[in-house]
Amino acid sequence: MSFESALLWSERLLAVALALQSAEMLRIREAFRPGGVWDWELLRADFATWPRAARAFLDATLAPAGFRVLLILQLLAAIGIFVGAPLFALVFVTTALVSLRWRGSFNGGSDAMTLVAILGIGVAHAFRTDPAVGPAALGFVAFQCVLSYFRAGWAKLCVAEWRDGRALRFFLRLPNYDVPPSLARLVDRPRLARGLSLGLLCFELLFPLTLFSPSLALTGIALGLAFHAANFAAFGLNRFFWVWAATYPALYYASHWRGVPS
Amino acid sequence: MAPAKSKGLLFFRALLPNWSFFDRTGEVFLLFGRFRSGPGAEWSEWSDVLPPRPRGFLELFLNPHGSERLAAWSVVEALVDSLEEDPSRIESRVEMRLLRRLVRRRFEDIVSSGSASFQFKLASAQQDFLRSAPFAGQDP
Repeated sequence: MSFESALLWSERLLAVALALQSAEMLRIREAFRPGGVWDWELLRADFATWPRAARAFLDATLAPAGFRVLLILQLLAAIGIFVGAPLFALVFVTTALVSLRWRGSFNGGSDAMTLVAILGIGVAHAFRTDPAVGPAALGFVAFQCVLSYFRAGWAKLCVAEWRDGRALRFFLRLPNYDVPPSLARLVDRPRLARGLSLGLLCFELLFPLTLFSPSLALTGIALGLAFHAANFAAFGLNRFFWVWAATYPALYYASHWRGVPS
Repeated sequence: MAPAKSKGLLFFRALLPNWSFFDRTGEVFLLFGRFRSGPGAEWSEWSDVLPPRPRGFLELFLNPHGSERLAAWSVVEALVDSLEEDPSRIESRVEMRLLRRLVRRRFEDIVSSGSASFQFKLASAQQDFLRSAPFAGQDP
């Protein structure tokens, strides 16, 4: 896969992820209105110790009117990125501000991966004619993608409940994620829970192998998509699906490297 | 309201990924609420403040209410952390006020009276049992 193709696919998938995130946020704008659950008048107290200029900037961008403009701007910028406009700095700032408004994160790791992807893909776009920086920036995205699985797998491996399947049963039975009963019942049998748990650990811990050959990368990507689809089905984590998908072209590109990026 | 000074870095956690998900099992809390239409009226039964939402394939693309619900659970977790850290300051915490808004929104379609009041409680949800509620709060 050439650098240009990888960059193009990365940009388009990132644009889709960003557009969906903006549209989701706009759909719940009622909750931002004065008196709503996520009223800025209430949230701004978190920033009471910040410098006055920073607070004024947050007031301008995160109060209902400014925030709506910010989200529309992010949606338009996502469309712009899809057609090749270099609007990465803008979406980096809007995404960081959205996270800040939600007390650091709206949807956990998906916000972090969105910022990582914007940073890496944005730098790759800016230095697309540079034979070193452009590929290295996509390499950064691929590395973070691999690290995200490996680190998650390692953290689970260190927990005995994950190794024997109890943790998977625990999470699939939590009422706060609305896990469909059919999925929750899957882990009623301890041996199946343990098998699924070990399968998940293997997938996450072996994911770095995807960097070693394109065929392993394609296998990893297929498993990754299935994994995130399952996470959506079980926990409703739709944002993870799209933003991790945006890192896969960089991963596939990096899997072709043999010493020197092409 | 007191800013969460000790939690300053949490506000930048999207910029500082640690890539660990669902790694620790532990105590998880559920949020229940109830209302009454006015002083002297009977309280309703306790019910889920964040009731389950069925999801279909299309929510893979757009899941605004599901995502907001996950954000609301983060507020519940933040409140539990704040309670463990310093219960005496809980009334001044932003997460406490956010939860009050969540509870009010949950019931405002049912009881629109200006004199209505609300309560909520957190209860531990461990596998198949509910423990006694460690906390209850009334919307002022």
